[in-house]
Amino acid sequence: MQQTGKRIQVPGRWEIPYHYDIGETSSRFFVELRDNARLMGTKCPHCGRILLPPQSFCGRCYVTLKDQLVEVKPEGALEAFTIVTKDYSFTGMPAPPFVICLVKMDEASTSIPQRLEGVDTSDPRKVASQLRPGMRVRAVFHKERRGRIDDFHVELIT
Amino acid sequence: MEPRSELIEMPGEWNLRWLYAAGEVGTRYITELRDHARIMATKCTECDRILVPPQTYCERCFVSIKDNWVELEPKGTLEVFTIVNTQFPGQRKPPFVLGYFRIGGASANIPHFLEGIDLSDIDKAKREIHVGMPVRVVFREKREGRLSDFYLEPIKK
Repeated sequence: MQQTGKRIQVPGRWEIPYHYDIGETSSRFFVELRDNARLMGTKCPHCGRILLPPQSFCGRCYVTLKDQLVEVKPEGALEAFTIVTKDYSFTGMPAPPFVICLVKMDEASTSIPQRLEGVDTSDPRKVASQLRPGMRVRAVFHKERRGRIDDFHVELIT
Repeated sequence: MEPRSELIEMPGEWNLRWLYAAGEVGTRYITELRDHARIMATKCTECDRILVPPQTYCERCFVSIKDNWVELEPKGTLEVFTIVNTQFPGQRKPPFVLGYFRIGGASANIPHFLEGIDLSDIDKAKREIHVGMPVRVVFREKREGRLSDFYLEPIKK
């Protein structure tokens, strides 16, 4: 119990465990990530776009992409980023400051959110002034992989 | 892609922290409970209904009742109950008895735990508990300003 002035605030906690059934196409993405350390997207046979993470159908052409998996080279460019400096206690996230970014792999038509590592975040303002969209990045696959999105991160190609 | 490849279930945890503002009337309710081990309610000056947990106004008469406090006698009756057998996340370990209780002549029921029932045999417990059974409020020695500062137990004949 906390008291602000004379009023009482009662703390509450909701702990809600989930199991997300991620489906056939996403399962394939995570299995390939875990077992073969590679990024797989799906390529639309109609418009030619490569969707990463893979989608089971093309939202533009309305055709199934279930058998259209293609490997995507783990190199691309920074599209956008933010530096998280406040501790929001997001589940699975490290202590701030850390960098979250959107990366578009060169061969893909869509971008993915990921942690950007290998930059010194001790001075967030300095990092902010050093990073800019368009910078070259590569995916770095971790040695221990569990089939989760944090099996890899991205870092700048210097 | 092979027709039935490995299907993955992704675990997720939502841990949400809240602070519920108890408000003016709720604050008094909790403070009285903690500091004086008594259950306070507000009574409507128009229709005489006794509302617990206390309300700031009577929603039938639309009058403010936030200064019209009464103390409830710490006993009453069980109005409805269920025996919880399933573990809900963040909740106490089952089995336990959850009930609605009418305390000290109040006009509203409060949800709470009914303790003092042997739940080792659920079927037997179901026969032992009944709607209308007299209960008393038991205040805990150590009170921290939560609803768990008290519980209900049957008044044995």
